[in-house]
Amino acid sequence: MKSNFIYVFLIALFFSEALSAQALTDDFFRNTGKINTVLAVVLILFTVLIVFLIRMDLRLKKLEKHQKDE
Amino acid sequence: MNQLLKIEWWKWMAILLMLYVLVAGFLIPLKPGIIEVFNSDARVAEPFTTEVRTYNTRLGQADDIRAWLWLPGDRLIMSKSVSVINDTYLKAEFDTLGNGIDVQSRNGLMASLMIDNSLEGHYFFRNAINIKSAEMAYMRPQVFYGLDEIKTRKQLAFPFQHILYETSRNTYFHVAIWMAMFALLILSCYYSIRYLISKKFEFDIKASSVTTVAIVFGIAGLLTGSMWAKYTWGAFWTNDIKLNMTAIALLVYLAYWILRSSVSDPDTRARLSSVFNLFAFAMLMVLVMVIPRLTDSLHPGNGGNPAFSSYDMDNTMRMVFYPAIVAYFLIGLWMAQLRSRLELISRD
Amino acid sequence: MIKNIYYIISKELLIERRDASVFLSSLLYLIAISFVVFKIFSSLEGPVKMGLFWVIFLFTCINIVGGVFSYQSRKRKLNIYQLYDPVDLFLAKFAFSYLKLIIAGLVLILLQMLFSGSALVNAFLFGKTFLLCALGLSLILSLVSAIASYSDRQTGLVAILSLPLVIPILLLGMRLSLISEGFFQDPDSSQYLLILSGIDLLLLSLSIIFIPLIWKS
Repeated sequence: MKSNFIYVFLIALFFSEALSAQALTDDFFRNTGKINTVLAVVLILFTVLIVFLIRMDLRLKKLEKHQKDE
Repeated sequence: MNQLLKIEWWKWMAILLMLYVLVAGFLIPLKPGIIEVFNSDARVAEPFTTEVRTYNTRLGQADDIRAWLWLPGDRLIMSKSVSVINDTYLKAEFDTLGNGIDVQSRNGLMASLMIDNSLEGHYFFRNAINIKSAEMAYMRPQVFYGLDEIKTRKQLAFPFQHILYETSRNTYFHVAIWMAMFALLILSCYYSIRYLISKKFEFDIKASSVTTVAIVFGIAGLLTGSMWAKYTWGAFWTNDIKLNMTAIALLVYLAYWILRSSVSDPDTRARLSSVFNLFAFAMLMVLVMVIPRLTDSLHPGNGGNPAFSSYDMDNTMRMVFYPAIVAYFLIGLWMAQLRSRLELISRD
Repeated sequence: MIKNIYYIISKELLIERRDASVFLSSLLYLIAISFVVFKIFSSLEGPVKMGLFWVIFLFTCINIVGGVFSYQSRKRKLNIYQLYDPVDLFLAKFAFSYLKLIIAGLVLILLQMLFSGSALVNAFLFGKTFLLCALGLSLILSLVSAIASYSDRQTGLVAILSLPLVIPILLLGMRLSLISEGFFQDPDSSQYLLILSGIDLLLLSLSIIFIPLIWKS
């Protein structure tokens, strides 16, 4: 349950970040040599990897629970 | 601590390489460059003045700044005077352009604008200025300098790319992950072949986990790619072939996933998915070879776009780019290993 | 081997004649769908004409070839597999579906001429392109159909598995047919035809390698 919450939270974080970027017009991603675009790219990369990890964590948890029941 | 030492050596390598890529990819500065040249119209027999906006420069600290017009045939025209407004903004004045520039075509001659000083070396804006021929006869000959006049300075820095600017760092986070995805797909083909030869379940599980990680990498590549595309080419999705090729690869391997989930007998599933994996990879290779012959790309090498060609990727970039591919590949391997171990346990 | 293939084809033909409604329904599907599409677009000009041809043809292919291996009961399947070599069986089925595709393609191109009111500009080049593309499509679809015939849910799986795989063939076909219609200033069709035949050859050898691997059970 807790992990589910983290999952949702991360996705919300990502989307809010993307939305606020829209609201700030072009400047946020284009100022200082577009360095913030690089930041966004790295953030997306990390989000994807972390979502993968969390999903695997959930599966492992299910397996552990299964084993305990036996 | 002893526990930590128990993980395989290549996982440590993955961690160290990843750290290296992050640190080097972010900390190594960009070379100085020119963002904008405000006046692009010059004419023979008239003086030429322009304002120039630069990036990553310390013009205020340099005291021997010169501006140059770089003509075809490596002929240089030196500026009369350069006035620095701030660290990234200067005004360059050239004397009346004399005879000998020989503008051939009616459209004028394209010249690059170059700035050099002993503090930062030189940097230029390619084809920034268009020199038109004189409107009346003018006899004063133009003095040209050679390229050996230009000051250079060796520095550890990434090349400055027009329009891309700092986003050329994305090479280590977007292009590299795409390459790692392809490496993982090749690895999964290797496991599929091993399975078809030996009929051992573990190889099938390995192949499927590696493919899953490759799909994850592909999704990451698409998302990061569209982010990058938005702020260089102006749209999240373009008709670019490399982007669309990744999308097709994703479609193929998602289909592979569906195939696996729609066969209940484990033996049949392993057999079918191995064959489909090999077949799909062969067709993807065909696609990779065929498509570039059919369309122009926004990506390197095609159509003069602001991206990298092999010429633009210098040794400093390679120093980070190749380790980045290896780092992502090893991390992908790690992820796949965890997944396949999980699958093996849950099978028992 | 040739004898075996010939025998299986004649057997297939017999079955087909006994139950002609399957192929006829595919043809009807083709006619209906092209009528619908032509009505939606109302005028067929330029690249749209060729694009529509390939799209309709692709879906007809999936319809015709997609079920080659799956419309048999398990028992019958076992029976057949004991009798023949899998490669022979595959080649026979593939050749037979290739024939069906050619017929369907002819019908489609005639329909298209009828609706658009214009003949092909370079019929010879278009014919070559069509034959090579149909060969590749029927190979891919036969192989995928053989794979899908082992899965638990067959409907739709053939389409999902094969659509991304046929893209190179379709793109080459589209480019070549545009050349045949005279849309390119500098047509270099022989290069594309060569690539297309290369792909067909690759597909043929791949399916001969893979088919016995799929079969074993």
